[in-house]
Amino acid sequence: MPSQQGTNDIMPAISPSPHMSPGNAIGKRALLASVVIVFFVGLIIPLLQLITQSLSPAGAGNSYEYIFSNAGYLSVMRTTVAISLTTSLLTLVAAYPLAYFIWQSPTRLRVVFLAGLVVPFFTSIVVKNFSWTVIMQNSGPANRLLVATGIVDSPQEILFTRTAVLIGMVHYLLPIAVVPIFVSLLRLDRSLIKAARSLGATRSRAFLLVTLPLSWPGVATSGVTTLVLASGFYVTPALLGGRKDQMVANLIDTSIRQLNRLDYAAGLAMIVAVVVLVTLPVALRQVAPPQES
Amino acid sequence: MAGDDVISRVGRMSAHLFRSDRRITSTLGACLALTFLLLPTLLVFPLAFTQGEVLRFPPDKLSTEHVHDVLLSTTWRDALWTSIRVGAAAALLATVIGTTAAVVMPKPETARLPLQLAIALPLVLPPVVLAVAWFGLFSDLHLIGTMRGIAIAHGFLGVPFVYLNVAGALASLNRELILAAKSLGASPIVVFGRIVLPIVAPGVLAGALLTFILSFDELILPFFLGGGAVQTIPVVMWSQVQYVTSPEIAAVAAITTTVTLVTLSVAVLLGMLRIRRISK
Repeated sequence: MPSQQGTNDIMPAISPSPHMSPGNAIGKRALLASVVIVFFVGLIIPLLQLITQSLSPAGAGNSYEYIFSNAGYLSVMRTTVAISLTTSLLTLVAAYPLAYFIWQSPTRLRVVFLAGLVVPFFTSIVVKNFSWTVIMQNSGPANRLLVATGIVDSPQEILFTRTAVLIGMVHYLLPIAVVPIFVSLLRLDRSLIKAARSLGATRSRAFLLVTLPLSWPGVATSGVTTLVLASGFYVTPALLGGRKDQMVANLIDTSIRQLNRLDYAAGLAMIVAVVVLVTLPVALRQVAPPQES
Repeated sequence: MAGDDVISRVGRMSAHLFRSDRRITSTLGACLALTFLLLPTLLVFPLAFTQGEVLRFPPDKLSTEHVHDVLLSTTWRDALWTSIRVGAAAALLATVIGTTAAVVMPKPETARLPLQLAIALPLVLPPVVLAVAWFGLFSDLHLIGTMRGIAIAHGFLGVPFVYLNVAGALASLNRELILAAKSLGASPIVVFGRIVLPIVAPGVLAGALLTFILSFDELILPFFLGGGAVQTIPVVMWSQVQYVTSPEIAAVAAITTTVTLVTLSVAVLLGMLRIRRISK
């Protein structure tokens, strides 16, 4: 195999080959220690420093007092929660049928659809949102389609509305949400559905009582993942949304860039981090038991 | 019992009709979903060949002027070069850390879990949170506004991808092969070079390429930590796209998307190579 030869030439330079031997326990331990140090210094400590930064004396009190007493900041956080929940729900509603369809499809069709998920996932978010601005502009294809099909009489303002933000975010999150649902459907034992059908359950009853509960862990994983990712959106609200659609990430940007208040930014970042890191394990624990059974 | 028979037959027929009807509806829905998913990516290609300065779809007339201008412009060429350098450095960093982590990952669950969680952190935390967290550290280390700083930040983003790829490859590694080689007198270095490496290498390279793509497309980290001095493609695009949507941006979008998709195809092919080797 020529490719194997090629990679063999490159690899020793960038991999810890001399320490790899299973017998070399000391070398292995030293490498483990260095990995731990890299993550501790590079990631854990900076995240912990958010706490001290957010508490650094800023006139009267700490940043949290300001954040939770300022109407503007509070309204941005309410918006973030509202947009995240709506997006997550819409994404799930779209993701389940799509995952189900891909699951039911023959292998060749599956590959086409999985490619259809991978390509947008890896397209730059700036590129995707730039495209949406062209699609959604007043004379753009979306409006022409709406007018041509008679859904609306005249072109509507889509850009800089909540709808535009939701479309952009659902589009971003859909590929990510489909995968866990698809995987949980793959794990599902098809003979259970057949058994239910042969015992007289209608298609919809078999789906509601067998397929849906068994794929529920995937749905829960998708829901949590989309919710968590939605809470950190920056580009989509900034580009597709109006003034009332700005989210926490945009507020962090404003705090640093315009207000020059790193402590407010750190406080907001801390709130997002805590919400994310508390939601994830709780939600994943909810998911765990049915997976084991 | 003739009545029952008729009922069941009618039921079966209607179920069949219903099913084929449903199949058409669901196929239609799935195709719509596929269009929705792919449209924004594919749209940039016709838009890149717009003639004139007005951006609309479909373009009134086609021309290569904007693609041509972008490829010759020093701003965009510098940005592309910066993006490639940062991406390559990030990929190298992520490869070294991710591969090392996968190789030395301790066996017991209690020791494994905290490290795996730390590796996964950059995946679950929004980039804005990471950007604010690194802002302090990078200021202390004078890394704000440097390519090195951005490469380090992007490197952390890529580690989970390299780690997952390599750990997957290692898990599928047949221990008996190693034992056999050893019993036949192969030194540890030979075992690593001739057995472990060829099996793990596609995973390592796939992880490196994915890191490159992540870095190539990342806006938030270079935007916050670049201090205006690290002008990667997404940063320059962002500085313009907020105010105008020009055919020039469409041309840049088409070029960068091409780079991303080509890199992605190579990564996917490498992944398939890994799976094929395992299944052999």
